[in-house]
Amino acid sequence: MATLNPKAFPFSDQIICPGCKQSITLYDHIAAEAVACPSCFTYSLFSDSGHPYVKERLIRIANKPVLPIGTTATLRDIEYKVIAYIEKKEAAYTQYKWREYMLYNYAKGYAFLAEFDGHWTLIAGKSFYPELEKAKKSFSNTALYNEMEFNLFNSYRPIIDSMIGEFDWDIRSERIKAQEYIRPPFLLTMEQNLSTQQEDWYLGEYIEVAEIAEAFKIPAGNFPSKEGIGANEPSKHRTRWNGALTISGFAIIAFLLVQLLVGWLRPETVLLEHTYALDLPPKPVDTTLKKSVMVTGNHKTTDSTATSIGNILQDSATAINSVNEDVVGNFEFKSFKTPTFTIPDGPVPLEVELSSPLDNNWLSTTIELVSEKDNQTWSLTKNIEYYHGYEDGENWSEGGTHETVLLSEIPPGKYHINMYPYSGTRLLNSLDVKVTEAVTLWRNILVTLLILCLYPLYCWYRARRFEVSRWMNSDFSPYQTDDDE
Amino acid sequence: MKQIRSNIAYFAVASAVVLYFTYDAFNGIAFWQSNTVERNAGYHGTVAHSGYGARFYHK
Repeated sequence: MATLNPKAFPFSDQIICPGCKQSITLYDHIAAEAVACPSCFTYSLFSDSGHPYVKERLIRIANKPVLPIGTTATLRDIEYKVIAYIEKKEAAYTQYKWREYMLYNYAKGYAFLAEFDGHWTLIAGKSFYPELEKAKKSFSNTALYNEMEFNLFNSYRPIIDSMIGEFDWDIRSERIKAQEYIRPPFLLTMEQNLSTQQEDWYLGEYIEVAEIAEAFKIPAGNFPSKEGIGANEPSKHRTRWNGALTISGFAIIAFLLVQLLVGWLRPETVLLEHTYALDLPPKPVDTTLKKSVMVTGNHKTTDSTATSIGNILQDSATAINSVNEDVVGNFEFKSFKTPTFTIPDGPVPLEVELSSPLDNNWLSTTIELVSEKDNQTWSLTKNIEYYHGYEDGENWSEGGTHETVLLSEIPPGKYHINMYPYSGTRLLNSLDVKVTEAVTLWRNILVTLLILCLYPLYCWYRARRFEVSRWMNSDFSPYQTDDDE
Repeated sequence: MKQIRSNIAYFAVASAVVLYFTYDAFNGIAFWQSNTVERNAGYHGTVAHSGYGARFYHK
């Protein structure tokens, strides 16, 4: 166990490596039970008399430690001294390698700085976080600590590749099974000693290189560069999403309140509602009919003339039927004018609703809103069409008997509407017209809500992509679908 | 710090959107209105301009 002292680090001491006879500095020599020589990588244990003896020879460390053994730094208000450096890998997937720096604090004991792919985590045990006593596994790949739920990210057996420095236990003899649970930026690690079955919990927090570099006064460029996404790396996209969601939420509430205020100040009011009869205009004088009657009256009837008369009468009948019908077979009804209505306050949006009892036909009308003050007009054409039938065993229908027209920013004043209806049938007999002022502009509301949701949705998408990428390194990804398996 | 700047920028954009549509709400301006031809007062057979009032038009 580490030497604890409330005031300062203990004095360092030196021993001679039994492997290479080089001097090794011990920074907590009272507690040290094992030492790995930084010169020859001999792993030695201390006998009861305090003399080191060789236990095994380790392989050379693969990387030069970024944080040299013996350097001190104040990290997050706690003073540490680096006393060991360990290179580890997973037993099952040996390509996954990481590095740990053992930090010693005279008042609290040991902590670790772990680095994997350039991502750093500051890890400590119960002496730093007493609440870890209550940490426990939960259901379905989760763990609980301090009323926070952590998700299982990795389960593995760590193996030591090589190391240098001092340890207060025989680190090479222990066999550990580890489970890592994440709740970025936190990492909760459960280490189970396979010999004693004892479980120890550790809490880690993601730490940026800049913070470590500043604390240890080492240039940030000396640190390994980041690769990929760290297991417990905080998502800046999630932070951005939270901010955007809050701002958009308040903006949407403010906008809806404005809409309610406008609706209260200018309620929807029906200005005109009437059913108009659709009449065909008077028949024009038919000169063809008169001419044919003249022909039959002035000549004797023969077979050939009888045929001519028959043709002429047939043409006449067609002519009578096609009264008011244009060249493409449309019927133009009499135009009409609505009574005057008043828009008291404005400008307002004006809605004109049209409906007609159509049946497999269409009606088109030119609508002309006319200001009686200055003859300013708003003119447009609107079609209503309704078709239905039964085909291939199914009923179908298309269109409807009802249409609306929306006019924007109509100033206050007196108005009437001129209507010029025409249709594909002469049998249509009525057209309902309803004029409403200050209608709720639902499209404005929907467009505003859509715009205000765009950025939060973008942030959410980026945050999700970030999480999916993070969990791609895990066998326990909640984003893994059946298709991926 | 970067996050705070980002939030301030988005707050400004969201406020501008709300103000823009608040102006429209008080002035009866529809974001879309029916495709309309407007003739000014004293119309003598010439279309003065089209698309009065609304931001966009549809049939």
